Amino acid sequence: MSSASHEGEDVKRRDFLVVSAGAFVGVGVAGLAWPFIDQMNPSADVLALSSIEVDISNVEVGQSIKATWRGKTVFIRRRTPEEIAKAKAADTASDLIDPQTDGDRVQAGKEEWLIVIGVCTHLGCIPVGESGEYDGWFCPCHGSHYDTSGRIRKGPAPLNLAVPPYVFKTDTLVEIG
Amino acid sequence: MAFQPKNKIIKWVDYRLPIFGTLHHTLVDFPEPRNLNFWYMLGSISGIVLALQIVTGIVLAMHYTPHVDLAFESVEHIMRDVNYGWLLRYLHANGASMFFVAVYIHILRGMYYGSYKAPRELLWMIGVVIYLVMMATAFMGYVLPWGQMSLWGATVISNFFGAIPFVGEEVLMWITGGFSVDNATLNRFFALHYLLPFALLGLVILHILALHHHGSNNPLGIDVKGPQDTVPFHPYYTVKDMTAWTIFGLFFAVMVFYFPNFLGHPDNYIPANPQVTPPHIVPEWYFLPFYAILRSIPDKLGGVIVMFGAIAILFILPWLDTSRIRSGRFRPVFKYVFWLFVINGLVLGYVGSQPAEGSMLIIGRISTALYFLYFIPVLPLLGLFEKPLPLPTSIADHVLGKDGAANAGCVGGLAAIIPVRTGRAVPEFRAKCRTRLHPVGNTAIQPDGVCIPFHTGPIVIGEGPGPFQPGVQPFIGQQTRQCRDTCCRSAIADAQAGAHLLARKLFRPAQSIQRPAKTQPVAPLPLMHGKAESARLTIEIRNPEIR
Repeated sequence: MSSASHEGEDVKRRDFLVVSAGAFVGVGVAGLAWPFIDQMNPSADVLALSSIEVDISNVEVGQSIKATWRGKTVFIRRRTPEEIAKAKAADTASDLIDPQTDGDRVQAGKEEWLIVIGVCTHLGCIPVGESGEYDGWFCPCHGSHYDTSGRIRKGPAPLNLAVPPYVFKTDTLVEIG
Repeated sequence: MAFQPKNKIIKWVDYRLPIFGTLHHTLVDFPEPRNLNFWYMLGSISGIVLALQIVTGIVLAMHYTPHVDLAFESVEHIMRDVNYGWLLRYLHANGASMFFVAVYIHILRGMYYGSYKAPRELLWMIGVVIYLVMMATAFMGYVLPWGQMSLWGATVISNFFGAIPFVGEEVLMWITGGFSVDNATLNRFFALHYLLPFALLGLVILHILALHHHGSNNPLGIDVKGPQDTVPFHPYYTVKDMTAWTIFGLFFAVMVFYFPNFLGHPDNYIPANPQVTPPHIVPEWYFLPFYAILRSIPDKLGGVIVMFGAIAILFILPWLDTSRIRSGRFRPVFKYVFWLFVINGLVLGYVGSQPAEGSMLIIGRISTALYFLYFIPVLPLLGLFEKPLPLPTSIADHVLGKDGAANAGCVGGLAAIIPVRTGRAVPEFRAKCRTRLHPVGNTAIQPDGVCIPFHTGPIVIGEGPGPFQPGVQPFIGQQTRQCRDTCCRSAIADAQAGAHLLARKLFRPAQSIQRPAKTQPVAPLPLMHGKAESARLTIEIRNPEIR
């Protein structure tokens, strides 16, 4: 133990022990911490609410209904021909913040049904229908204006109202999710 | 003075665990500057309110149910059925507001008197952390009743985190525990709302530890130079603190018993409905300035960054303020900038309470810009270019009036000339004249405190060796205020002019004294003593009302 070479070896061995022990402790702590972090993520029963079926047989032209999917409000609007025309006319408008054509937001042949998640993409409020400067939706919280295709045209929201995945099971039954 | 208990049990315990000694040192013989004013009482008021919040919160938790289907009703159950539940809940709800009232004044006091400057930077930063934790706690508490404002306030605020680039959506889901603010959110907010006040308590202990290391700052912003500058905490500040608590408690009681819902929002008495957002969402009043800042930026991520930046900038405030003078009293420009900052904060608060449209949007943007301009570049530049006023020599000298202006108050013409005798502190005296109103009979009236009564023409005082001349009378009764104002104004103008001349001759370079006022038909100043006794002073009183 008294010679210099032995001391040098000791230091190397000790360094290795320190580093490896530290690494094991680090991995162990991280592994133990993960359950405590992950428990805050959505639980299995929340995630299980993946799809809903909505009967739309009672919705007249110009009416809209609200459904709840994954805890979020979904707007199902049966648009009037004027609204569709207006939405299509705005496809190339210069004030589209998140450019998208109306055709991309509805299903072909079902242009009168606009189905969007009714949560303002700014900070999550529910916009008010048939209002705002573009006769679509207006969010009262921070003043975002959406058009008749649910596209953001003016205000602080960065994105268009999201279109959820959906299929028409029949002409009067739509499955969202 | 060391702690020497007489009680044997206390002695026994303290020898093994110095808890009593520590408390004694903290609350009894701790030396505090002798000139602390009532603005310095808001710290202990905040502490008392925190204690009240913890006590009322614990008992409310015994009756509350954190579940989306039951929360709203359990709060109504507390209000209607639980014995004294209404009182406990109103105390708790208004207590949160009172906590913010006290803390906001406390913060502004620290900003005005420069309490964040060396060596108290960490003390200040711990305070900012306390403020942040308070805001988080208050926000989560407001969610618990699960009314409309609870739900939608929680939605809007948790969506701030959705603005984080790339991982925003994941972070948002992690925070809310679902696709929207729902039962999982309510549950965890309750758990954290119960936890955080104890974290606050720990932070407050750190805050006090840091405070007692260097002692309190004081309204003069100069360091304590010795025992003559301090008084023991007990009884001087225990009594003063308790006086402040009583006044604050009255205000608190009026709110709780007469206006318990004044600071709340009626929409929160509507059960939460995830399908309808109230037409006008507003946060609690104490968040309004920051809410206005958020809304003034027309970009989601930008708004969130700027809003958090508005708080984060407080952390570096000690290094932004380049002036070495602590107290705003001796910073002639800062003083006004500070009050503009306060007014701007109130404007932001008002804008935050209004719908974000039209002129409100524009005012909000201007106010947001002004808010940040205060920190950068105004404060750093002000410290470099502002010419501070002369500082008092020490706290004791100032308090005891040995350095001239102190205690002269604004009571009379001759008293106003006192600073001139020593040739210093005239500007400070002038500032005092504006702000401090001494009632008649107050001890602040000098032994020779007299008022020059209302004359129509010029009067002459100070001629010859005698202290007072005809035309100079003690003031009385209702004339006080008018007399004081008149006397002050003219006497100061003359005192300045006199000081200006005198100072050039005797004391210091003229630059440290304000330039002579325009009203001076003034000869060199008469002194009540010393060499210049034969000098004359003519005071012309210019008050149209009097003529």
